[in-house]
Amino acid sequence: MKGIEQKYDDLEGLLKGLLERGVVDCAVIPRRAGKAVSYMLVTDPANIESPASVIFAPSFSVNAANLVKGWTIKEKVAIVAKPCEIRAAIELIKLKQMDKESLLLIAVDCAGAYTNQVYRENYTEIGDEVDSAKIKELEGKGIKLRESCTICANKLADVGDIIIAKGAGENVTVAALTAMGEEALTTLELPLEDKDLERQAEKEKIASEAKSNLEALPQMGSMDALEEFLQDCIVCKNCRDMCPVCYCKECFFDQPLGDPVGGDLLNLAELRGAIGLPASQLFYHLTRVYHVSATCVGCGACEDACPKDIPLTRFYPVTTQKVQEMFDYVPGKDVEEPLPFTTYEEDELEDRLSE
Amino acid sequence: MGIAVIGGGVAGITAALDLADSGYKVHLIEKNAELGGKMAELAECQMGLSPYIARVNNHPNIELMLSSELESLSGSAGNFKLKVSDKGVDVESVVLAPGYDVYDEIAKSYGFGSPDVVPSLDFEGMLKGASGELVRPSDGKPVKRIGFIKCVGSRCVENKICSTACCAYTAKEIWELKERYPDIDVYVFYMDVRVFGRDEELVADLKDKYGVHYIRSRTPEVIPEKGVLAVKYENLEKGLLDTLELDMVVLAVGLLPAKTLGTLAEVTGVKTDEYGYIETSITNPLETNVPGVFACGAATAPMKVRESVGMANGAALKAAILSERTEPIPGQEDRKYIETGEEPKIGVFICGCEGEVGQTVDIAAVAERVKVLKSVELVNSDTNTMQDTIAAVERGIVDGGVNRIVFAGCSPREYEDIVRDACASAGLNPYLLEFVNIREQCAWAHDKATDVAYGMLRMAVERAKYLEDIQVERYPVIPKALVIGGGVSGMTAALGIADAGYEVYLVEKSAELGGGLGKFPELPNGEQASEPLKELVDKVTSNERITVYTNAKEEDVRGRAGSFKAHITGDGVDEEIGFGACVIATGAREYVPEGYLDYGKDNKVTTLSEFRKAGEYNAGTIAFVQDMVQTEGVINSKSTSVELISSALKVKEQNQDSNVFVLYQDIKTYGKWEAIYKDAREKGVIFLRYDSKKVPEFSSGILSVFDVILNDDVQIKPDQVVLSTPMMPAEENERLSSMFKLPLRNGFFMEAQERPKMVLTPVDTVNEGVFICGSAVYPAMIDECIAMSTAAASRACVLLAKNFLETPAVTAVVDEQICSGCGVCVDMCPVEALELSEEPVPVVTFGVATVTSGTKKVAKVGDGCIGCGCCASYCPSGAMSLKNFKDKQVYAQLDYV
Repeated sequence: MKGIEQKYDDLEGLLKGLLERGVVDCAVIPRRAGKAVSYMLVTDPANIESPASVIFAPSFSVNAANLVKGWTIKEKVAIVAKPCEIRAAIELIKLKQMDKESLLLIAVDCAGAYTNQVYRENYTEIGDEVDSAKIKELEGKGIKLRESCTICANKLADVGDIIIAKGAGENVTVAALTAMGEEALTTLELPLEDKDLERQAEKEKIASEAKSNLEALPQMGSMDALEEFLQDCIVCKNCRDMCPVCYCKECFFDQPLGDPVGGDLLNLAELRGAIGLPASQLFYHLTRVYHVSATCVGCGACEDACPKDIPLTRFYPVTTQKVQEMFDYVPGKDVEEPLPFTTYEEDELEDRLSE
Repeated sequence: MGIAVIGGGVAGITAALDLADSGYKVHLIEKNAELGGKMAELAECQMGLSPYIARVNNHPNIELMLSSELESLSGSAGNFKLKVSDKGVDVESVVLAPGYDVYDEIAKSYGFGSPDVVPSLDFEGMLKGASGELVRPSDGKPVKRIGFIKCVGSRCVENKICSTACCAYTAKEIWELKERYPDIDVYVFYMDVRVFGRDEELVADLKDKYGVHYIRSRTPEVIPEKGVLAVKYENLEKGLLDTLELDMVVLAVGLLPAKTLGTLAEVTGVKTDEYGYIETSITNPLETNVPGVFACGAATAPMKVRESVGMANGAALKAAILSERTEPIPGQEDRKYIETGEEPKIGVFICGCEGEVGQTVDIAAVAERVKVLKSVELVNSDTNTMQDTIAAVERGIVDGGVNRIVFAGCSPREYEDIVRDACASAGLNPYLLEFVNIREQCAWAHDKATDVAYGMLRMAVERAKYLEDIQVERYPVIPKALVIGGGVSGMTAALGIADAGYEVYLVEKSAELGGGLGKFPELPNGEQASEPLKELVDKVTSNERITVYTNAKEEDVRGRAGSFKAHITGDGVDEEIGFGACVIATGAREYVPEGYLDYGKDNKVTTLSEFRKAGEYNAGTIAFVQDMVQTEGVINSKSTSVELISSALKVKEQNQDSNVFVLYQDIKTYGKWEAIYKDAREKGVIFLRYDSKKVPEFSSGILSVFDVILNDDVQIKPDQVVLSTPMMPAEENERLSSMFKLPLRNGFFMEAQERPKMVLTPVDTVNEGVFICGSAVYPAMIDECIAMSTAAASRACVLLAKNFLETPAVTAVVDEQICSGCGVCVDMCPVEALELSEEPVPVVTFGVATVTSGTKKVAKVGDGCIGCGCCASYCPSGAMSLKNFKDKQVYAQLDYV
């Protein structure tokens, strides 16, 4: 791949340049408000200030892909975000909820993130970025990463059009993964050279840690256990609304069959003797997990969104990873790779059938 | 008048249905008390055949004469007088399909007599009946090692020819055995594996995936000893006689002409051949010596179900052409449906299935419980046969005022269409029917069958409440056919359809009609190929109903069965045509073995067709090589083996002293062609069998081969090497496959298949109205091509006989308000019936007008939806749904599980 070594301070010029030179019409990038970090959609380059202090910030507010879902206009937007967010964007392109030609996807290395509450409350200790040593140290003080980040095996930027990979100190490598990315960097007149950013050993280490963390999570072995796990759910559907890959225009659970009220509720109670309330708790989550089983990127936005603090990571990514393994599918890895349910092979899942 | 079909096995049933469905009166004469013949004895086959039997039983155009025998036949084509068990029957033509019998004089040397040595049909029964472990008949001990011996009572002194079917049916039995009992070790003793297509893949799977041991050995000897069966066989690897101890042995017993065939031949005056089968010829495979009397199926030669059915389709057309259409075609009458109103009034009809349900289900008790359910207007539980229950349904609709039907009885596979039809003719929209299978899925399967039957009916009643009228449109059938390919198959199909009275467009890609038939100067029976070819071409070109296009190509095919459109370009043509049915007969082409055994470099090496064309048979030493390595196409089939051996014989005939070698892996001279294989051996042709791991080599004029029987290298110094080349699919198959949405297997067209590993519709495809035949399906011999293409013509005519067809009822519908436009359904649709349309969406923000409009995508359902439901099952928001399977209907049912 083609890329260039830069310093943290160069990133401002780089991102501004994308707007100034008309590579993109606008950009979604992280913005800081005091200790807190969220996103902005920016059209005027003047609004971009020292991005290095914020794009590496280990805070997760919302999945950026969810913010641009439905971006089917021809104006082009750059998205600077964590790998899981870029992966979600790629899944949404496959699901035609965004237009590939209208997006310039820029993935930034991630070391794992804290919920935005934890980040804000412990900003002085956490700072603008962390590495694995720092994460360990903070963990010792009871400042813990989001659970979804601890089981994420894909933290290093390796998807999208451009990646921003962290080097030692304040060094970064900016590299293009696609023709569109390379064209963007060329337009900025950057002296590009060949770069090797496979980082295989590092990836394997992250993956093996993620695997052991995943295995250490409490197991949900039965339907009863799942029912208990979801008992506090108020079916507010925030997890759905914050999920980047839940993309229905009108959710089944907003339709009469999925959201029974009044007479329908009573009829169901009459039929079954009793029904749990709020209605459709289990049905809602089982349906949702099935719908996102191939495309869930494991970003953990669902858990962050839950007002009842249900650790949904233990249900959604944990379940969907197993499905994805079965189909040998990594969501967001390659925009050209078809969704597993759109392909047909005469012989597949045979070993699963015999189990 | 009408047509008499003699024999109620799979061939007779097939012929009778094709005829009856096209409006001919059929007298189906069967000597037994039940339909089905030999096929009904095979478990898997019986399942496949039963819907056809049900249709015959309920067909208004078929007069079923069971337990009846043909006693005499007089008159001639167009006016036959038959006496059938004392009754007079007048017909215009006759189809003979008396079937076969199995060889029943099994030699003692197979250990026959020991209870653990069983013929394959008996084993089929054992397998069907086995629940839990498979045990030995002798002592009830579980079977751990089992052997299958092929060619018992075939390819032997008593029955010289090859029974054709045994290789494939043995493979299917083993497949079923291994699926159910993966731990049983299976050994197969065989001489040649004579299978092709899907069966070839099955055998490969058995060897590779299921670990079945295929041992090449001439039929071994079985010696029952204390508690085991000692099987003595030739171990080719070790080069000695070896013994294997097995628990059980299954004998793949050969086929013989039906025992009744002799009498039938006498009565009808039909000639039989030296083996006792009805005599037909290679260029007239469906015709007997008696004009107006046609033959099909295993009465003409030992064959498999697939070929048998194909011949039956073909014989039906031949018989139809001589006959007058006198009967209405069911489903073509005018229909008006009653207004159903809002309130569901459900009629529940429980059929006792001639006692089969009543044995375990207390039908009266179930009826009592169902009666009190809301919306149930009437319950009928007094009928015990399908006919009576259907009559009750009709009364319920006409007199009882019910507007929803719940029908409980046997499998919907057999009867759903028939009951729907009955509803429709009684005036109720046929989709207001819910069918419940309380026989297979309840009475046969459950302990507390009464409760289960009630539960199933409860669910059905609930679903029935939400059933909706489905409106279908009738559209006229264009009484014309398109035939693609002007070879022997295409021409035969075109003539068949034209003779039945329909116009045909025949499109040939090259400048002349003829196709691959001119490849060899002679047919395998010695006849000059040019004669039948010329006759066919003359008939086609002089037929007023056939329009021939040469140097032509069909493009842009649209529409559906009964009403297709296409664009034809070619010699002086550029026109749009409409047609109701299409026959694909693209043939196959020869592989050019560039570089193989120095072909192309050494002029001693030629292909078989080059060799035959040159016609010089005087080489002193000549080596024929078969089964060359090739990944695509068909390496070897019956046609290649027959062509090769008849060529070897030709050489011997011309020059007795020549040394003729045949290097091969499997000689596939099925059926009667086994005789030429035997003849070649007797005349001194030397057969050298090699293994795929050690293929022949040719260098400095020496051909070396490792012969697995001698277990040694053999070197030949040939004056000529003749290569039997693989047959490749026609180049245009790929294009036609995507245009007609037909699947290919190794480049050849695949037939529609209703049940796994069984073909009852050999020329039908998944695209209704499109038929395939000849070497477009597999490399076929001329008689197979003619039979198959007549079959394709017959199937096309069944469709063209109708005045109109109906648009499919159960199709997908989209709620555009809800559709998110993700397009996954479009990708999933197996028939490309969906498309995504883009529509502009206005922007609602104020002030700057940077962006004025966006777009949204919406799925649209087009023509061609087959109602498979893939789209609906994916669609997460329920925007896409399937009529008759709406969420509401399914949920209502599920709520009562």
